Amino acid sequence: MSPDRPTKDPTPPPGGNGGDEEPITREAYVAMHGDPRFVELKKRLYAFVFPMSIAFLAWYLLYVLMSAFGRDVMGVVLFGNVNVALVFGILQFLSTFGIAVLYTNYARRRLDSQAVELRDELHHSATEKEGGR
Amino acid sequence: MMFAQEAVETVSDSSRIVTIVLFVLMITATLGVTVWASRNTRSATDFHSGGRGFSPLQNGLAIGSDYMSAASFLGIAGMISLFGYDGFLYSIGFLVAWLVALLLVAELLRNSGRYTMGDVLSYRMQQRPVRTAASVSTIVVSVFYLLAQMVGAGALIALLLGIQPGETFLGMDAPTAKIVGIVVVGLLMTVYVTFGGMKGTTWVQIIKAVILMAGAALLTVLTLSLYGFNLGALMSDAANASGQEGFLEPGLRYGVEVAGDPVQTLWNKLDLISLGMALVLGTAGLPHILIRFYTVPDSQSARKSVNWGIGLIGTFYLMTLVLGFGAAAIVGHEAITAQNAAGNTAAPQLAQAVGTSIGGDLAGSVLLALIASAAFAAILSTVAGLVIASSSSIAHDFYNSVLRKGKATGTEEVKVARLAALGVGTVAVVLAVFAQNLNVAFLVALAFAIAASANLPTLLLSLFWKRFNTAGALAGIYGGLISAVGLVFFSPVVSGSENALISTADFAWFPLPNPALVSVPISLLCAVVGTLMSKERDFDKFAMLQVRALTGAGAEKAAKH
Repeated sequence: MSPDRPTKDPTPPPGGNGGDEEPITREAYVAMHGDPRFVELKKRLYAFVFPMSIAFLAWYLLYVLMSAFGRDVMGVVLFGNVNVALVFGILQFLSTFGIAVLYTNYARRRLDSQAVELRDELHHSATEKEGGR
Repeated sequence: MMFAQEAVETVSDSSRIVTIVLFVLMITATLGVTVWASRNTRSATDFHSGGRGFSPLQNGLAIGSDYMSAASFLGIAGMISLFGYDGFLYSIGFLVAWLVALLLVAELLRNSGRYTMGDVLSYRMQQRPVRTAASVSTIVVSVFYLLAQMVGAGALIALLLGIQPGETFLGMDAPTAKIVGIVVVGLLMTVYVTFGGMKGTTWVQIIKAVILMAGAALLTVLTLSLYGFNLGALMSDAANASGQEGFLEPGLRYGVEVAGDPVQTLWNKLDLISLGMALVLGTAGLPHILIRFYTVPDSQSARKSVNWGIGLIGTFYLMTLVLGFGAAAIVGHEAITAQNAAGNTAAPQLAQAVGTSIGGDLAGSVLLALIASAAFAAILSTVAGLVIASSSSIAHDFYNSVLRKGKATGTEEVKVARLAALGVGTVAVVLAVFAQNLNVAFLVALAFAIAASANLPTLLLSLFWKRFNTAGALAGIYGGLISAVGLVFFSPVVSGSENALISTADFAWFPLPNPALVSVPISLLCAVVGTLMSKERDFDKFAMLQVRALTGAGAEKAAKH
């Protein structure tokens, strides 16, 4: 999709998106949007990212609220110099790393191959229509 | 405590020489990279997105670099050294924010956009008004952020070279050195971007990330070694040396409890929540972060690069925690505030003290020079990222799509982007020189607040809300932008308090220095109401955007070299 690079970099369409020429038609996209496989892909993505986003935002908000209004609890020393506030903070780090790992595994298992399959299908049917271009 | 004497000493000549040699080495290396990159930058894709050929690790390093500015390296270490726990609290917001980018933004943006944030925002909408709005918001966020970095840079370079008030160095006194610092940084960032484009900028950022991570890791290990790798001992020393109650608990810097003034106490606490909101929602709306996702070949690489970024940034902030506590324990509160009231030199001071106590004066000088250079690199690469974000948006969104209705060639667009970089660089230098004595620390938080209010809600609605339309996008962007800037203007940051920009006047009726708590809901409301009031709807376009975003069909490919 990046044929004659050096000097001629054809103008982007007004949409400014897409390749230099858009081989996939509007109809093909709209049809794909209704395809049960796409609906399933979308459902899988949403089923992970939305609940997880709400969860980590709530978890972070709890941390900030506790830092502002729950200082008695945050100041409780657990052992040595380690208090609840420090543990809570470190847990925010760990949960961030953990969610990143969880999402990556989920996407690899449940999203990537499906997405690639649908993408290739759209590209193939577009090329065929244009006469094996 | 026991090392305090060495630390108060001013920077020695030997250290200055090492520092300057390292500065020059780094500038030479980065300029060399820029020259190389300029030879490989021809098309618009090369200039705006570095040819989309970077690996996830490379982009992850560059993401870390964009993010770990001097403000967050020196600023957070300093904040921890002076206020203990609250500096850590700040860094947590910065890190958690990356989950928004990872889960909701990075991959979808990579698949559906081309060069800028405006590409995705305007995809379903009327091009010209939405692109104009996206461009305005990109430039406002970037320039505020840039200004904060540049003003900080000037002061920092004077401090890193150890030029005290009343002293001269190479014939420069401290104020002159500040201006020279601003101009040098401005010149370098403009050169990186104008000649090297995204390729040059990314390589400068990769170099910086390696230097910064290595420098911080070395200093962390050395600091811990002084305490026999006993973190508990370091913390108790830090808490004792700080001389402050509750050093290891929240509340010394944010959400401060004012005795006998429950109203102010409540405002302070709400301000902490407002700040947390801006940090966590702002990151995924920062234009210079968003365009980084375009530099990799596909959405899977975008995901991996965010993961690298999260790993690097998280590790870095954990090290910063050690450095901050180390500075509090080893350098001490007084010595830190004597150099810089905000604690910005705590990390370099720690480097000198640790080096000296391990290997004598020379080691102290070398370690100080190393950390100073890492901080200098941090300044350079972050500002370069901001300049390229603004110039790409000016050239691609405004010049090409708005002025030329999408008819400009790639070559023309690159030419305009280079001119725009020159313009942005010049404006930033001039503004920074004028603003150098103002307290601009609030500008970074403001940039995050605008990004959280104007950019993120519209970006998410664009990707996920079928009914969303042009009127909604415009209302969301301008509503968020105006409310965030407006509320700060009427806050104690600008007037009505001792440390305000205009301390002689008082028109502060909005009590929170951080506006996000109010401006994010305002922006969302504007976007929803604006959408519903307009009849425009294009569900086909939404279907196209979603299919492209989720599957990667029709996505921009890497340039082949």
